[in-house]
Amino acid sequence: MKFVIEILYPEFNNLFGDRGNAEYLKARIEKFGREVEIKETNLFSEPNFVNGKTDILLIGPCTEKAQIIELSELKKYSDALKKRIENGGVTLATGNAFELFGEYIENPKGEKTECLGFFPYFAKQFSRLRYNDCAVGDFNGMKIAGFKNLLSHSYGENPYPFLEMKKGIGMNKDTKSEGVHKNNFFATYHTGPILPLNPDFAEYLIKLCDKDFDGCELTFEKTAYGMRIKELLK
Amino acid sequence: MGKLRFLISIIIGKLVCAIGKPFGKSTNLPGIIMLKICPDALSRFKMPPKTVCVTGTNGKTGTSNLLTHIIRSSGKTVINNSKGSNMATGLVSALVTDSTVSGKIKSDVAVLEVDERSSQFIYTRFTPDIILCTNLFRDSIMRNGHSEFIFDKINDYLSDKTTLVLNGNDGISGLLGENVCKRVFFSVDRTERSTENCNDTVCDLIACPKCHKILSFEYYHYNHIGKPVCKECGFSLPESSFTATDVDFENGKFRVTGINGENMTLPFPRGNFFNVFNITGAVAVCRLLDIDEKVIEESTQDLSSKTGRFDDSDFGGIEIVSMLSKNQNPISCSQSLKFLNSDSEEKDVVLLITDSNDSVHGHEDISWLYDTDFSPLKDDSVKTVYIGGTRCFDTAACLEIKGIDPSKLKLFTDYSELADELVKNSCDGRKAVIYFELYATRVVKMIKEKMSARGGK
Repeated sequence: MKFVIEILYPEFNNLFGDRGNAEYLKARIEKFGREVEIKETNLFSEPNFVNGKTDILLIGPCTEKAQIIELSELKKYSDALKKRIENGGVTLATGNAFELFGEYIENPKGEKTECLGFFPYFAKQFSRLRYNDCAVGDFNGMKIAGFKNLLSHSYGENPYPFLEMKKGIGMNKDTKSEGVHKNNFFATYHTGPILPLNPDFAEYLIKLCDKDFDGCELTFEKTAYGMRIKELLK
Repeated sequence: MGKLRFLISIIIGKLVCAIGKPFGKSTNLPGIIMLKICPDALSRFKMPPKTVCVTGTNGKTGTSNLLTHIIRSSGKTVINNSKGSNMATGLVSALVTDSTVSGKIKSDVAVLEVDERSSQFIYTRFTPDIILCTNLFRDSIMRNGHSEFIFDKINDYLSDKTTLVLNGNDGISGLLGENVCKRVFFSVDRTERSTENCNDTVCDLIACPKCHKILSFEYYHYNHIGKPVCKECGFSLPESSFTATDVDFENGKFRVTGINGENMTLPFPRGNFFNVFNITGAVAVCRLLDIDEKVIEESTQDLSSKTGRFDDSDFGGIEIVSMLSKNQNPISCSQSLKFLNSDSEEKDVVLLITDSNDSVHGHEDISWLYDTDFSPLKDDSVKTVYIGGTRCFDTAACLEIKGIDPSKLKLFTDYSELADELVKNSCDGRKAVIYFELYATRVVKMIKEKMSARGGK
């Protein structure tokens, strides 16, 4: 049976290299011998996961304006998303997509946009300078490296953190706790091609969908990963 | 008090220019010092009768140099910041060289290249008569975030007294100054190379900026540059006042027509289609400045030699083509890689595209590699791809994911080893094409020196 990777709203959610995540998963799963289908769901269309089979759902970062537009659509599928998380559907939300699952996003004027409300944190946007970071976090002993490029931080309670940061900040400057991990739902402020940057984590996600998957690494990404972790934790 | 500070800053600025010049410190340092003494110096200069700013993601430098060249050919004097930075400090440094002690700019026209992110510190200090925005694309994520972020940074500081000259093929920058400024559009008509679909790895405008549904295009030139027309809500960009037509790729020439009956035939350097946009934008500005068509036509005849970013020479019997490829800029890098498919001759490719100075700049965000179209490297004419730099494994991983045969790739964290290996394996008759980011210029020089020393094999 085909392995289905769904990318939500790729017309907005591909700010910088985010497509690399689906491309990398596809390359490894195909090397393993399974056929892969990448389904792209555009805004105003019903996502595949609502009524179909999506093995891995990817939600990437978007601009601050697009975030508001997306939220109004995504709320229509709030129940289906919630059910997917409860049922262990593998989902990875990166960059500011992390914020969609919190309580609200507050813009620099103080205006609030209500989010999906699955988790109790909330985001506050700052006005001009963006926050950049090359960071490393720990997930059950696995080091995860990533890049951040944000116009916001998140605050409040976070009962299901994904990473404990070893280098760089958590969801805001006063915490080392970053992202969300509940069942097989992962959300992180890290942006871009997080999966080729972290081949072990990519493998972990694929194994959640197909326990027979046996690695099938490509040639260079593991060395790049090792060098990055070593360099950043130096 | 402010006036006195300004006068003191000018005198010191002029002194720093004079002293710094032999040491190559006259293009930015005077501005840094002047703005420390007089933070509002930029608003205190008495600007010339016409001030043109050139901004946008790609093509700023080429377009402002071209504008300067044409305007000077018309007999007017021009001050520009071509030698210095395109931020406030660079502008101040340039202006002080052309100012009287009281701060009056002597030239007839100022042509100033402006960094998109510096708009706030420039357009609030003086009001340009014209701002030409070449285009807006995704660019270095660490500096620019995303194109909408940069759009706001420009749009929020525009004055209704400025005329905007905008790219009528760009549905992003084409919305600047809507309902605020007088806007003049230039565009490039469908060419023989236009496509029905976007064939590039990234397109920064997939959804309609008005209704957010998927946007249709009558044609694409490259990435999101083309003719967007929304079938859902009817959105399109206004009609262009200056249009490039009859683009002849083989002979490198095209025609520009204008709404006031302009009709000029102009050349563009071989293989560089971007220049058609840059030249057409420059023509639009020149016509707004009342520069005669004949002057424009005559002064643009010898453009091909005016680009320093491309070199094709023989070193020790080996042809080396070197092309500057802006680090962190996937659009620029993708477009220059297309050059590889312009012939079927065997070649080796050297990629020095990741930051060669990251020990100083910090760990590079390599996300942009995944937005870059490396497919030209798949071509059979490309024999070996040499990848240099600290992030060579990242680049190689990305290439493999994108379907490039990993056995073609040779990786070197040490540039000197890369150069030695390239020289050792170079074959007569096979050229080397080097893509390098700005800081890797020294590596290109080293490769060329080693290749020259090799002598004919």
